[in-house]
Parts: sequence; structure tokens; C-alpha cells
Amino acid sequence: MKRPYDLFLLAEIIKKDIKVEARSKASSNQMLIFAVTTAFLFSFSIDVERFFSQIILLIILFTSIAGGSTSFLREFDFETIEGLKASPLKASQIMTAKMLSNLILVLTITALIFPICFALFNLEGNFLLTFLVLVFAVIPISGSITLLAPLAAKSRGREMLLLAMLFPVIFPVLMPAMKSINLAYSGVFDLVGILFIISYSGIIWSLSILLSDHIL
Amino acid sequence: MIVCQKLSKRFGENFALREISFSADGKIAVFGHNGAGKSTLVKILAGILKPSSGRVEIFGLEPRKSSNLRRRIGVVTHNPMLYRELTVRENLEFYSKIYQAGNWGIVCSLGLKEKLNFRISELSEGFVQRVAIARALMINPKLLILDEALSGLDAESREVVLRIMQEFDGILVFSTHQFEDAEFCDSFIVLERGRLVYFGESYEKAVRSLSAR
Repeated sequence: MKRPYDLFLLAEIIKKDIKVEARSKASSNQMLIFAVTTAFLFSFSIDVERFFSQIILLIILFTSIAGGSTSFLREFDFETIEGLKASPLKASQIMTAKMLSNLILVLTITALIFPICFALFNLEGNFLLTFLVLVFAVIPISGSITLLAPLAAKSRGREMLLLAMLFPVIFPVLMPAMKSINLAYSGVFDLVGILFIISYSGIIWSLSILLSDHIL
Repeated sequence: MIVCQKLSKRFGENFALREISFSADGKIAVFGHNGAGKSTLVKILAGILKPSSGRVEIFGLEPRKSSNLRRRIGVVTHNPMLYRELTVRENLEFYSKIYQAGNWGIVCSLGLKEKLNFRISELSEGFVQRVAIARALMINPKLLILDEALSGLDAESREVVLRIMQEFDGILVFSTHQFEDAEFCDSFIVLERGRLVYFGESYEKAVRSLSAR
């Protein structure tokens, strides 16, 4: 298959996913409400600035689980995934497209809630650099959720199962992500930490594509 | 030509299909009561499911492995495989781009022209099924798989779909539990609890073997 055709297919699936999400707002509403409520509650705690990296990662992680998995799981709930599997698409193409559309969704929500958190927590650190590092941290989080969501899809308590499976997968990247966010907040770009996050994201994305035939 | 050799499909401990073997061409009807394995067989032929063991070949290719083969397979099941939030046009455009084929003439034949801007969630069950059939036919398939495609259709839609099936110029696999709808088929497969209990060209024998159980 030719490369441009592959990219065209990915773009079509992503376009369709965005359109479906924009109309249903099933995931985005859930994510926004959860994120804003959590940020609001944390804004009353003492010393938010000291624990900012932990709090923002916690909000992003749980927001992504709440909504990010829903967008993929809906394909299983309405059995539209069968339409994609019966089509000429390869499992790896479906998985790549789902990883990308989920990343776009989580990044959009992150871009919306990050300034809200910054304002609610009354922070004075480096806004742009912190946001940039957070964007890098979102990539492995969103990738892991997309990788594990189909595995939990047929379970009754799938949100709990997803969380249980997600934690050991995401744990190795959470510590360097927290450190990099803390440094970015004080204006330092942690290159080693970012390179680790990028490499870890690469592993998660490669695993998703390699295992796509078994996952779907 | 569809060739199945010792095809089995297991879900956990339960066999949905058990060592099915047949080779057939033309219009093929698949009969069986609920739970007989019709949908599983159809999903394996469409490349949606992977067999647990055995082999399936269509035009000499394995559906699960060949993208080019799946490009030529139109499939309609009881689940329409359409996005409820999108309009009829958006759904059909999406699939026609994925398949890189789009015979929009079928939209008129199925009476969908006035419904193109309606969301799937706004349509009646009969029209949703028509859209699903349009999705399968607009790719100009060489193999058309219809699994219980007539269930839930109103009388007018049934007539339209039956006519399309009878006039279809390719391999047709039509799975149903209402065998009178499939009398026009060339060969008949009868499944019972995942086993093949009849395969042949006689409609009467197929019906008898199903009724006897």
C-alpha cells in the first residue's frame, strides 16, 4: 500500500472521530466537568504550588481515563468497530488512527483546563514551558489508555479494570513527568526527562501498533 | 468461490463453529436457528473474526489477511455498523473513502436520496437497514454478505432488498432463519449448534434437515 494512501485513511478516520465527538460531546463534556470540578476542589487546598505537578498530572490522568477511553469504547459498544474491521483497513491503521484521535481529544481538553488550573491555583511560574512539558507528558498517558481500553472493553467494571491495568504501565513515566513539570514551572527545560518521556511514548505507541491485530 | 476447510471458532470453552467444511459459489443461503453459528460464520467470511482453527479462502485469499479482498466484500449484519451521530451522507462518504469506491446510484435505488442529510439516529429501523445495505453495495462488491438483513424491514424495504439480492451479480451469502426468503439461492448450508448438518443444492432437503431438528 502506498504511503500517501495510508495517511489519507488515517486522516479520514480521525476526521470522522472528531465529527462524532463534536456531535455527541460524550467524552469531552465528561472530561471537562471532571477536570474543572477537581481543579476547583484542589484550589482550596494549602500549598497548591508545591504539589502543582502532582495535582495537574492527577487531573489529566483521571480526566483522560474518564473520557479518553470512552471515545474508543463507543466503537465497541455500538459495534461500529466491526465495520472498520470488515473494511480494507489493517488493524494497525485502525489502532494508529485511534491513538491519534484520542491524543487530539486529550490535548484539546488539556489546553482548555491548563489555563483554568493556572488561574484557579493562583500560580506565578513559567506558564508556556510548563504547558509544553505537560503536552509531552500527555502523549504516553493518552497512548496507554488507547492501548488498554479495548482490552477492558468487554469487562463489566471496565473503568476500574482499565485503571488497574493502566497504573503499572504508566507508573514509570509519571515520576520523570512530575520532575520535568516542576523544573519547567521554575523555568528550566529538563531535556533528559523529556527525552525519557518521548522514548517511553515511542514504546507505548509501537506496542499498540504491533499488538493491534490481537487487541482489536 | 468460497472454500472453508475444517473451520472452527471457539469463544472461551464454547464452540460457535465446529469443523465446518464446504466450497460454494453463486448465491448461498445459510440456515439455522438462533445460536446455530450463522453470524459467526458470516463474520469469519467478512474478515471481522479470526477462526480458531481451519482455513477460509475467498477467491483464493484469506479475508482476515487480505485488505484487497476485504475491499471487494460488502457486508450487512443485524448491527448496521453506522455512526449514529453522523448523517447518511457522512456515513456513506466515510466508507466510500475507506474502500476507495462509491457507486452513489445505489442511494437512489434504495430510496435514500431524501434522507441523505438525516442523522442515523433520526431514521427508522427500516431506513437504517437500507443505509447499511447501501454502504455494502456502493463499493461494487464481488461478494455480498447479508446476515439477517431482512429482519426489522418494512414490506416495501424487504421487496427492494430481495430484488437486489436476486439481481446481484457476484457471490451472495445470505444468512436467515426465515428460509422462504432464500428459495432463490443456488446452494444451502444448514447449521445446528455450530455443526454443518446439510450442504447441497436442494432447498427442500435443507428445509427438511432444519425442521427435523
